[in-house]
Amino acid sequence: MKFDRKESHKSGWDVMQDKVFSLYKDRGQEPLRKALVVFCGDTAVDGVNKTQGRLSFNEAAVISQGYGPVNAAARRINAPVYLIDIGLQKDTTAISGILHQKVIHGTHHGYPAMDKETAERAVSAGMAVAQAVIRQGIEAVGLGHVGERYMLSALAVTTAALHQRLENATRKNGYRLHLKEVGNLAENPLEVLAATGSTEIVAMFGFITVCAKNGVAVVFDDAVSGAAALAATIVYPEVLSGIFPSLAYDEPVHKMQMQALHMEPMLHYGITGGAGLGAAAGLSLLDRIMMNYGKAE
Amino acid sequence: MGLLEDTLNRIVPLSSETEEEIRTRWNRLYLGLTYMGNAVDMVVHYALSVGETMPEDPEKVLIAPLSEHGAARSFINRETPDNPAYAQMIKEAEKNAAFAGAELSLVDTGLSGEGLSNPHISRQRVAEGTADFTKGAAMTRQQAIQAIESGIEMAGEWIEKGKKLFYLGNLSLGSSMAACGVIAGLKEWNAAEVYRPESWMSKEQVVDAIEKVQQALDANQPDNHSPLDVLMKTGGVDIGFLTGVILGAASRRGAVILDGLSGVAAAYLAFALSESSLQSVMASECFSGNRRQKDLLQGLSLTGVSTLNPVWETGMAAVMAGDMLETVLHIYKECATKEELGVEA
Repeated sequence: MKFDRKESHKSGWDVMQDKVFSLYKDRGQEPLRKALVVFCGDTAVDGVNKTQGRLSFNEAAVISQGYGPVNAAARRINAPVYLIDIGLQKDTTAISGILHQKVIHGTHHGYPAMDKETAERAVSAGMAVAQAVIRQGIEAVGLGHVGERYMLSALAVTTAALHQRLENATRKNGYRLHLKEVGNLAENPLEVLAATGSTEIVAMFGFITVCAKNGVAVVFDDAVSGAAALAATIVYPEVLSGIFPSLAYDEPVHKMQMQALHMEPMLHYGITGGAGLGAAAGLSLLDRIMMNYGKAE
Repeated sequence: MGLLEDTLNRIVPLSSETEEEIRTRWNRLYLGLTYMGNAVDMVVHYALSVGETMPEDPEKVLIAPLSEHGAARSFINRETPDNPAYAQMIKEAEKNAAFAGAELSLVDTGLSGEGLSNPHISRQRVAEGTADFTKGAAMTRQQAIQAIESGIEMAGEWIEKGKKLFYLGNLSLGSSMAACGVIAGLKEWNAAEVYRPESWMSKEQVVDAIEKVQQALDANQPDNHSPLDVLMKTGGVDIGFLTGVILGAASRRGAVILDGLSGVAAAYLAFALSESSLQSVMASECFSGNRRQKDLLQGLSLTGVSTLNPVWETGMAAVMAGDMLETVLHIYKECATKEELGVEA
């Protein structure tokens, strides 16, 4: 006789456990080999921009020295932190400890945020980082980001990804929401991401795609990594089986993403802009779940 | 003076100067664009509880009682120790403790007969199960005091061994009924507003359990100004024991993380006995879906941090909250200040 939860009562934990078990078939119960990958990029640098990239530059520099909150969290779970400058406004070549893959010095304000070639390079860089992580035998990755005005691009990508659904939803209520036509994400991902995205979201899109297709779990936390996760699932639905949310927010963009992904994040710490801190907490959940692996036998 | 009274006398308000010192360090830390949310409060709470402004990594113990509840006997097939659910719960508690790097302390506070055999189980039996509280008080006043005092003793023993952080679980079948009875009794709420169905239960069993708790409240009319009266009439030995652990920890510089409705019931009792005892208590679950979801923790000025909704109260939610507490403690201690780094916010 087993006292498992009835199917209709399944919680976020049960759903996550089922997904983890099916992702790591034939594996032992030991902790996963983990890493934190942090993509850095600034958004809308030619809009209102008082800091000129100083805040995000400082944060990247501090993380590269191991003094960021994400570094402390990563040390606790024995995970290395990989920091990639994909599109910060400022030049970071003087900072050691950052992988320099800069495709642009911050994205533009308005549409398009970058040209298609730039987006293509960001996706490729994200994919290359994923391949490198996979070669190292990493089994689960927590995604983070550093950048300024990140919510603008998170909102723009999410709106583009849910364009049709949002319009349909408003039509049901008797009025029509007019969203700027940026194209169909499923059909023209690069064009849409170039129009709406920021470099870190576009790179994360490429990163998630490669990881999830190779059976490497990706844990994301906020609306920025959530935008990349949502976009990846719209273009490649099979990615859904490899991505896991960690933090829950009351913030509407994140809520929309979770609703569209049918996901229920379970951690309520109210951490924002944590450069992957919430994702690190999510990796701990994965490790705890792995201890249950094989319990049905 | 009895142990309970003596313990209550030793619980004193914690230093506001220490809190100010801890919050000042948080404000000075360079956290980049990170907003730490309520994670900061976890550190403040823990550091205050143990009385250290730069606390060491906590030594931990997961404590969970095992007791039988008279009122649950009619709808749980076998509440007795031969029920296979115990083995599953113990296994899960072992994993939770192992994950947390915590000692596991399972305490037979009220099983019947020979009880259970497991190296983690110690016996501090107060009663062989409680009486059916739909027909009268669950236990005597003396048993209620004894249950609390055995929890105080247990907390003291672990503190002597160097443990500072206590995860509270409860491996008693039917514990939701006793927890619900205590909370509803103290707060004068209806049982249906508080009861948290154990997820393996059928709808009929849930309705039956709620009716039984309400019946117990109506029949026993617990005095909500007297925590001991509520505990003896509509509680359980397990809930009393957990109350004792909270009080014992609070009186000797220990911190506690609650898990499940049992922990919340114990915290309400501890609060009613000594308001200052909650200074050492942190919550884990948010209790989503509970009709009193907001009031449940707000009444204790606590904040839930997860919606894991585990099947049992085996310490899972508490351990995961503790995992985050340790992470944030590392951030608090390892991150550099803005002055040290020479950067602004």
